[in-house]
Amino acid sequence: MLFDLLRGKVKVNDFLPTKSATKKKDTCGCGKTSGSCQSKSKPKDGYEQVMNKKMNRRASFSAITKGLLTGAGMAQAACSTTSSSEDRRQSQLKWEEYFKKNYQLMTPDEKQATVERLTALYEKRTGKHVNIGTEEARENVLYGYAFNISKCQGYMDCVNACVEENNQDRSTQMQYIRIHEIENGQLSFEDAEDTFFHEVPAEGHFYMGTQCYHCENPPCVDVCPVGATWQEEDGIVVIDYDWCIGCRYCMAACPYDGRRFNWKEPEVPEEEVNLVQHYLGNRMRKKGVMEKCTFCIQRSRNGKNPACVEACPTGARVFGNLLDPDSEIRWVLENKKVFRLKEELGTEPKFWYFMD
Amino acid sequence: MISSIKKITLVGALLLALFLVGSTCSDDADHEEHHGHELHLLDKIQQHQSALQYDFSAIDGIDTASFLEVHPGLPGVKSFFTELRTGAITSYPCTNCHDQPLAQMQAGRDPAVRKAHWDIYMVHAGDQAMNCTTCHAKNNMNQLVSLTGGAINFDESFKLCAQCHSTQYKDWQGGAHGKQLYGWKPPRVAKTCVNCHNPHQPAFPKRFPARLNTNALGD
Repeated sequence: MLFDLLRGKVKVNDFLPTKSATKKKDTCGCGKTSGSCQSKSKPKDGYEQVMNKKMNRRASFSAITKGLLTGAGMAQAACSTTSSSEDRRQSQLKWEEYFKKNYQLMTPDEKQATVERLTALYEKRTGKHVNIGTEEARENVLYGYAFNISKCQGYMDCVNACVEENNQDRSTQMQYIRIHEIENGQLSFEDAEDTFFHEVPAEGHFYMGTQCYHCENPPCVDVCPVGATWQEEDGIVVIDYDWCIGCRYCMAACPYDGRRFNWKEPEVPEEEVNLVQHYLGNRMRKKGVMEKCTFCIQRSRNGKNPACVEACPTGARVFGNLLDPDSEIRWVLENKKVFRLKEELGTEPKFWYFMD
Repeated sequence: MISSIKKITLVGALLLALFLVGSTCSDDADHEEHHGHELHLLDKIQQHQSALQYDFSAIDGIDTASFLEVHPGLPGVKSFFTELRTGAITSYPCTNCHDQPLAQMQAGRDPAVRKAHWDIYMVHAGDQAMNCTTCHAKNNMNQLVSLTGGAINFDESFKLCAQCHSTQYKDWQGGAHGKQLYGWKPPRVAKTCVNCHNPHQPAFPKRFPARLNTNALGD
């Protein structure tokens, strides 16, 4: 029943007697004793439609019974003696997954438990063992990124590497990275060519890649109504895919087109799934949740470069620890002329552009 | 009736005024906080001026013994590693074939010798500025040669490039040019010049992108 409540099949008000059933109508706030103070024909919508459903005693009893039966069904599936123990175990796992906490609130043991459940469920479904990491942010590490717009040639190898590394949906061609082909002499994303397929670099053009900038003041995090996205200690902005409700406020709040939404169930051919995953990174997503670049958290937290950096054939991408004075990224920031996009917004992207 | 409406209006107006004052105050506070935060990132970065010790283990499989250590002449830039070249060149050492003086080999009638290096042609600075012997030592094929005639090992070919491409050399040593290998964490390993650029035709050729840029088809 609780399950159904959360799923939205049965509404809280289904169990509560409505006003009309308990209280005799006398006067309304407007002072009239008859008729209606609102226009009669106004249809209920949104909140009204869901929460203020008129219901008589008979209907409410029927709703309660329905809910009870569904709940009993769920419980029966989990505890039944007739279904196989394997099925029981699976419904138990699904049940526990459904009611787990936000990742930020989990203890290390709880994190371990959810990883074990996800691994078991994946193994049951595909027969393959997936390695879902929960590596924490390292001390004295703050990730930063620099992109050389003199070097990028628009080869798109970074995009391919990103899609493969991060198990992005192949059917909608989900891509975290955008490569913009911009005519020399301007820096306008409105006039940029984003769907090129010709020999590159094109004469008189330069290329600029954008992705999530992992802002120090991320507006996307501020607007999330459920705390499903946050900034980690090492500066990576992450999403709990199991906590996201898919409202897309973050997508609207991001000034850099850094976030992507799963409009449908993501599809990745089974043989192409990257089995080295992180809970906050490239583990499999589902329909109706946000995702975006995580600086390849499953790689970077183990000392590796993000897949895009590794794949870039021109060396246009520099990644490293901003807190390490000996890192390449620090040298770039201190010795090259760098800029960031929309600095006036105060978002403080940790993603700089530079030129030779 | 009328007086009660007035009272309600008054109370409402007071509440509204309080709300406005409250919200402007908190706006200011927010703003200051943001401003403080704005400086925060650079502060945070600049605070760290002393070398870091990483407590997590190095990436598996990196044996720095198989790399060449480069000692940059740039202030504040520590030494780093680059890949060795001599083991990667298929026909090295060159004296395996070059056992006679060059003029003698060119004059010879051996077809195998005449066909050698057929695939090498120069698109680099033009023949006014460069020919084979600008880089290759005429009298010792196993070595490269600097502009002043000094010997340069094939493993250190970046020194040869650096004679003209000093800006790129500086950027490479610092980390703005070239490619990081193995990861962002020390030990720092960078590709050497000729592992990306063919020294005989150093410019990258045009090609088709690895995939159609289907930007925004998904959303």
